[in-house]
Amino acid sequence: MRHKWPHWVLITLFTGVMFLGVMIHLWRLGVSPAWQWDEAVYWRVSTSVQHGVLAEHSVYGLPFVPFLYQPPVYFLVLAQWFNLVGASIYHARLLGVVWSAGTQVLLFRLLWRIHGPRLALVAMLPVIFDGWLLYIERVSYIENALMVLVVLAFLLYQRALDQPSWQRFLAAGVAVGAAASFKQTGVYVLVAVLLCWLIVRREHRGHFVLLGGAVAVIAVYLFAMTRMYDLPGHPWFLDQSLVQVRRVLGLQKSGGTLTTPGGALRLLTARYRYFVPSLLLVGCACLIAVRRTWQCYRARDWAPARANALLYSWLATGVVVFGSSTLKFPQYFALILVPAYCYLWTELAGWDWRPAAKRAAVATAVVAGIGSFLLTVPAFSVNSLAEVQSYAAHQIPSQAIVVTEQSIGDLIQQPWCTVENADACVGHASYAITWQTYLQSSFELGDASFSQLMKGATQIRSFRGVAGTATVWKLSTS
Amino acid sequence: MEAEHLVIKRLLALLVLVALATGCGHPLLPRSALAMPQVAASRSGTQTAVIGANGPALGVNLYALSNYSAARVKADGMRTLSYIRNVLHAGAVDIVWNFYASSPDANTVDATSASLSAVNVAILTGIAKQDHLLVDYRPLIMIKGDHPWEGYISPADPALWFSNYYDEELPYLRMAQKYRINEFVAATEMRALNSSPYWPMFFTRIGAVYHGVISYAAHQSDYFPSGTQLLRLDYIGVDMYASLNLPSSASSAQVTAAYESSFSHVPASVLRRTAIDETGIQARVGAYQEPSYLYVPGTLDEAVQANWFIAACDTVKKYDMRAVFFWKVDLTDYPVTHPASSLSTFEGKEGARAISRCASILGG
Repeated sequence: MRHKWPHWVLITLFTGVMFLGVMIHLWRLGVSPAWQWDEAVYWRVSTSVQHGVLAEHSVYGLPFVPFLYQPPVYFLVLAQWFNLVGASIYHARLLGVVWSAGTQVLLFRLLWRIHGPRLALVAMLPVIFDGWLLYIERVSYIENALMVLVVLAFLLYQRALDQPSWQRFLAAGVAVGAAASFKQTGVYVLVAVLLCWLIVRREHRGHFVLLGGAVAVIAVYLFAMTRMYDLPGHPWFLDQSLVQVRRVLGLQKSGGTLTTPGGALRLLTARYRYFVPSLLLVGCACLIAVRRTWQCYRARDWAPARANALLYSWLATGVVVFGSSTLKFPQYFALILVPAYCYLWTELAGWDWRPAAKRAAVATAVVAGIGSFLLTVPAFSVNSLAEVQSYAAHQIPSQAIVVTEQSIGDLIQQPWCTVENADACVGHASYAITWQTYLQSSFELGDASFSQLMKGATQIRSFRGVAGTATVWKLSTS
Repeated sequence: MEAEHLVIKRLLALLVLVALATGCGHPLLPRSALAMPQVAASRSGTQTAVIGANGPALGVNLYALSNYSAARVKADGMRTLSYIRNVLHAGAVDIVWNFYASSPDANTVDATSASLSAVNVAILTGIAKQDHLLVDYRPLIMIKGDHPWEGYISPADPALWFSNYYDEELPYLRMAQKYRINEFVAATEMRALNSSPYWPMFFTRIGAVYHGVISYAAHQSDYFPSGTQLLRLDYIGVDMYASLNLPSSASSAQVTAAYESSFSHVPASVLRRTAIDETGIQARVGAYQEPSYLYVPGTLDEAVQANWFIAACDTVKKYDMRAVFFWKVDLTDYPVTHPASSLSTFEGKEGARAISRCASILGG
């Protein structure tokens, strides 16, 4: 006889667990993890937006270029947050914690709607306490905010499936379009919805309305951005959007692009080895999804996947879309992890296991997640970007021109040139700060002018951290 | 069914409205990024003339040491601006007032009761326009204490400082836009802050309020080679108090040659964009050695000041610079009936006559 708990008890329990999760998110947030590459860029862009300019730290010798590699909505929100609480990477991370809490609430509601409150609570435990997600959600990535829109879109979509009306589908479509407009990767929600439609094979009219709503929002976004930021002779929005597309397709190599499986393995074993439990769980979820797909294939019907259609579609789309992308940023992996966990635990609930075994599995996942998180806190705390920022502030003359990479250029106050386009710095730069990680090196990305500048350069200081190694050089041309 | 169509139509209309509303402007882009040549043309076309667009302009700094009642500002303004226009024959006036900082590293700039209010600045603007004078605004910042020069300002939090400075300038920027003045000189001699990365964003914010020419007055050390470090603006200014190392007996030609030589290594492209926003000297024996010492006692020598002014005038003419503004007439002065007697003022002295001659030099 299964005890049925009142809803208020389950909601209270979830609230308590979520509160605990928030506390863990906040614990030593200013210290660990070390600043990540994107955080410095987003911080600089948002502080610029505070001052009325959508741009990074301007590059010496080059004309103004707005920052449009990511849609600007996140920066507008972050700039307002900075206006409210202060402008630092730590403050940006605080907002990330708020986003994550919002995501968890919406996800709990989504799972409740699909599988009931009890299973929703159980499935949320490994999501809240997963090591990788805790790590990602403590960094001020755009994806933390994107996940709110992603889950909201799926929640509205599920609501429309449960209680069909064209208004509900339209609302879901608007949310899907908003997710895609908030960050390009959010478009995977639309693909997931299309796959889900293929599986459930009902409410065709509603799905068309959803599709129309999503396309309309995306079209308006593209129109407005083109009007605002594609000026005659300066198609900034188009150019930078295409750069992102080319990077995803592997047609353009840049920092952070993963091109070989060996590189991925090296990265996982070297930097992300603490997250083995998360990878194992995702592996399990994928195996279950593959098994379900095989069942569908054998039945020549999507019926076997239909009971958990939305989570299956979400996971499958995430794996295919981000698996085929050459960009393998850790925050992208969160877009797979969340549906993977939801799918895993909701599928597992239907298995013919003893309840104690299921509880043990969930508890093991939670303990492993918290354990891996606790390991990362000290391991990821050496902040080489903060150290080099401090060094530049105190040891490099404020008017000295520095040739360096994007993120460091955004952190320092000195005029700077990028290593990829160092022409303007030749004869002027007196310092270089190089950056080396498993995926990128200034010496690989730098152009001929950078190589020329580095001839005879003297290494002054090196700051080694888990995010990468920053090395300060005195150039001989000064 | 009809309701469905109605809602979809409304949604589409809303989206079109959003698209049009958001697509009309270029938010979060600095004015300088919006096709520079077109902007320059539009500035002079839609706002008012760029000072120096029709040849070098002769200007005078009108300095308000404090704030006063509107009635007094009006009376004083009519008197002093009439003097500037009709006696000195200047074509431009630079309205100057003070902001205050509590210390060099303070993050705030304050408009105090001693700062000429924006409303009073507007009163002066109206009078100046009636007198057919080109008008620019230029706030100064006085640091409280023994070393008031704004060149020492180096705030602990530059981002906050720029934000506060913008807030203080905002009422004046709005007046500048309302009265379509010719130029807003947003900062003066900010030596310690000259290399701050926050200037572009600051100028962008200003440009969002005031759509005319925005410039700044560089300290001579940041202007002249080899220490040149100019902020990126279409129009710039410089405060010129460079030592000429000449004896008081130097002839006008010698002073002019020395003054011109200070600018001789500045690129022509820079000179054509430059206005001398402030230049002055005491009518004192030995003043060429350190013209910026405006308050030291000494023996009156009117020729020193007059030669200096003629030299500045000739230099602006020679290098086709935008303008020269002579320091200064105090707003509360009675320059015709009771000329100020301090060595640094030119009222009633040879210096005033030199400025008057400058009008014909620049116009000739």
